[in-house]
Amino acid sequence: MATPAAPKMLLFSDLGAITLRLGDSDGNQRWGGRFWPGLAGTPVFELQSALVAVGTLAVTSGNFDLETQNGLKRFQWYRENMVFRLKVAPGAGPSSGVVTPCSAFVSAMPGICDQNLGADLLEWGSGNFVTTTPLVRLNTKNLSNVHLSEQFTTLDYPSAQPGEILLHPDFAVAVAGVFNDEATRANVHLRINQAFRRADVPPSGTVVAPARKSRHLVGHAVDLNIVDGATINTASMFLTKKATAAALAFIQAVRIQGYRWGGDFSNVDPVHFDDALDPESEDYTMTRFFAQLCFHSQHPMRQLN
Amino acid sequence: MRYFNRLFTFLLSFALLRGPTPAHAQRSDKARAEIKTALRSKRKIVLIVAPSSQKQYAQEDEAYGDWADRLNTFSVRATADIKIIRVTRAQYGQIVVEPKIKGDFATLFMLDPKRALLYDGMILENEVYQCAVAYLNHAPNDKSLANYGLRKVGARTK
Repeated sequence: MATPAAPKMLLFSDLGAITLRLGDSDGNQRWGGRFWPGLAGTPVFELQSALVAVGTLAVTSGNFDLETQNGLKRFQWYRENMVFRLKVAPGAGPSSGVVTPCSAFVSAMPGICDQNLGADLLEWGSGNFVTTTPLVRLNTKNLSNVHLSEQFTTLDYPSAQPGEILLHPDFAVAVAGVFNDEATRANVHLRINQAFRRADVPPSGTVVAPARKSRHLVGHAVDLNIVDGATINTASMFLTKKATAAALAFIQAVRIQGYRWGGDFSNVDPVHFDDALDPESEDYTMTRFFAQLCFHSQHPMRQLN
Repeated sequence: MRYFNRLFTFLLSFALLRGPTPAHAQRSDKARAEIKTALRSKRKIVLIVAPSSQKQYAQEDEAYGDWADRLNTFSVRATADIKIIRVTRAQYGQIVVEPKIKGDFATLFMLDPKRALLYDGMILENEVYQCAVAYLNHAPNDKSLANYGLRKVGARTK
């Protein structure tokens, strides 16, 4: 009696023409959307393990479910939009990691893993690289007309320095450039009350639910008072039309350059400025995922200035 | 279509004339009792007026987000002698005779049964709470109160 031949192994490192996708399952020998009775292996589990290692998926199961697809899409978005990653020594926490540059990688199809993307993931794993936060530290002490208010709470992140705020780099550049320049031109100072905001709330003592889609949650907004000489332009002063002319001139100048002032909103918010990032966009969803998760995991923040 | 419009108008009128629901009245009674208990025990009261359902605000409204953040920061840091009570505008109307408020959001900082500080709207700056707490601690800065939109008012509850 002849011994049956051992089934051929399908390895994640050698997918060939098979592209892993939603519905695939190691247990069912379904890969690339069809059944392979003659093949064995755990490529879905290996893909999930790689995604867990880079920080875009929480659990492994061997089944390519919706959460796996989301984890894969997060990694793909990251690879297309971020040109840096965090190198973490084996066994060490992310807070001791080092941010290093990497080139962008564009996947063939979102939510599907082909040979090239698999190879990219394996390269990340072998180099101990993980995805990290898009946020940067902006030190207001290096800016002439932007300062922190006495009420500003410095968040808890590795190497946090006095005078720093956390923002998405796109908006941080605007605050350090347009906002500081226009404040200088209008002869006012900007007193920042809040920039990036954590999504999680304290475990007790809160009165109301926080907003779920604020631009603060992705570092694309600041709350500030415009200080004109000895006058602090408060929210109330805008609501009662007592704001100073210089404050209004500053607002008009940043408005012209495409930034939104909360005083123009239907629910008026005169201390708020943002860059109108669409909260329904993929960029918002993905930025929020990485910014909030990496903040929670104590990833180091890059310095803008 | 006309029939549906009439029916809708009738149902709306009925709902408005019917007044508060038993559950609504129960919540008002609870809030009223909390206020009276707090005042009897010499605690200061911060009465937060906000809609009960914040779905329409909570999604992506920045003003709501800033208001909620400042309020939660204040409530987490509030000292034990301050009692924070949350009511809707309708419940406020059933509990407080004076001062009247204009919209869905307001905050009444009650020093005692007759004296209070009113912020009629969404508080968007931590400094407003700081000024109000100074008032509750009998150390108000009148200029700051005015600058931050806080108004000293007489208070009267039912």
